Amino acid sequence: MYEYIGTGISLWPTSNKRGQLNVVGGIELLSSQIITVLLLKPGEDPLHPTLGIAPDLYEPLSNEVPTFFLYKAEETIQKWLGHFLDGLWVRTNSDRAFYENRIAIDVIFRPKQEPKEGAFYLTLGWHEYTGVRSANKTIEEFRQSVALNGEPLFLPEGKI
Amino acid sequence: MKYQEHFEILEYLEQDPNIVSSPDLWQDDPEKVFSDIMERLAQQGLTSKDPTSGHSILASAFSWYINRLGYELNLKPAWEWYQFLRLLGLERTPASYPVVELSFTRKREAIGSHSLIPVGTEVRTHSNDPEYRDLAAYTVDELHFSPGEKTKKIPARLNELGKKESLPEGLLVKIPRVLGPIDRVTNTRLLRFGRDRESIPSLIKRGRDRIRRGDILVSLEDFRQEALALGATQVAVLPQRYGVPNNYANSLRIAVYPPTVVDVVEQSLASEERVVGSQIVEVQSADLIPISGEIQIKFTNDLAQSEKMNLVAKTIANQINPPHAVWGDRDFKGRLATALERTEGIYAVPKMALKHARTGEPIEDLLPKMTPWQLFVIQKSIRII
Repeated sequence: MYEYIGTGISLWPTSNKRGQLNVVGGIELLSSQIITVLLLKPGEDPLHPTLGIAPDLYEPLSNEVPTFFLYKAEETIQKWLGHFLDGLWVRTNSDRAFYENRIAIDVIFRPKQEPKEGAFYLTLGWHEYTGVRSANKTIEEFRQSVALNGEPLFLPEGKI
Repeated sequence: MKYQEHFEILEYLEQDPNIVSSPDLWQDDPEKVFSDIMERLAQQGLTSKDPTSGHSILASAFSWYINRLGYELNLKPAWEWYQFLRLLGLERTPASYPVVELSFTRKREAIGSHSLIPVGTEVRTHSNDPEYRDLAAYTVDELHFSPGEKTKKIPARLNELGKKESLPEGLLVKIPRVLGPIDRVTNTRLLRFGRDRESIPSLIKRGRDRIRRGDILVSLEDFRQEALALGATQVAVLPQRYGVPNNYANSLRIAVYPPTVVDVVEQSLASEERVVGSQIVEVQSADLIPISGEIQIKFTNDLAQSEKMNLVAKTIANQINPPHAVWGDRDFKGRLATALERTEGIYAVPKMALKHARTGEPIEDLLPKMTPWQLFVIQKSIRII
């Protein structure tokens, strides 16, 4: 169904439940690619120096609002992964029960040749995301905030 | 070692085919390595070729860092050159600062008392010229004024390393710190031109020359090169037949400019260990003939008087006066006229009336008497009409 996406190594996470290299395909690969685009900064991939989202030159001292980020993220994902997608929306959604008292970012994407109605929801915690980009939080905290269609994408450490 | 030097050596090797150049040890393009890796991975089942997939990011980093290592590897031949020359006792001569002379003038009220200008006093420029905008000079010694002294001069080093051929007078005039007793300050002349850091090609050349003949000085060119290396800017090496009549057939006369390096050159060149047999080396200062008088010059367009003067002064300083003079120049008038006429802004030099600045002897009488250790120096007292 999703042959055009192909198979590849996912970096999120790097190993699967059996402790092997996490080779995935289809929606799982696409989700991991979206996370890669969001986490990289331009220049970190030397052969593709524009890949990633540039940090703001001046970051606000008060609470960051994700408004500008939404626009930037949608544009960047569209630029790098748009050839796989029929539709893409990046929204903030803070009223979900799972993310009570937290801000969540929803990346809503609909791949090409999707037979069913509807789209996929990739959810990540806003504070975890900004924290891991500015090295204030660990990658583990970020991992625990990520969900695909409401289900955790990553298993906790040690649970295989 | 900086990458710049690597390219300098490559450039030098292209010019000099006697030195065999070494091939690049690593020639692959990182993009090509990356696409090769991706092709191979696709055969193994990782079919996604998107740059955002995990194996693509790893392959990209791998090929890039391999390429960086390859680049370092390609610098190795240059590094070997450098280490080899160090083994032979050759090191690059470091850059040095130009030294300028500053003239401090005291205020009238301060002349009756003592005053002290501290070492390291900074003097800057008002000029907006990009070449001189960031220039500053720092005095290298304390300057002490006794009662009654109005103007005193002191050397100061510039803030920029490297060679400076000339510096306009009256450029450095601004003292950023408050110096109560000082009315004004200005720069007068360059005391030392400074020196750029030696390039590796020049080091290679020096090394080759040294291997060819060692420390022994044999040919006239050997003496000339050695005197130049010791700081002389103009050297004339004259075999015995040019000298004053004496009985030594194996004597050698060396005239050097500027006169300040005579002692250094004499100590090094005239030592018995460095000359062959019983050669006698005599080092003397160049015989400078001061020239003054009048030059009639036609300028092309309406230049201000000071601009005309600067134009002529610059041409004379850069092409006529030492270190650009010609030994025993009997065609001095022609050379001066040509240099001036080739200057942009001047179209004709119809008339010259030059003379010895002290004796007043006209230059037409001086020219036939010129000897190969004499240099003409045009004085500031020359008049431009």
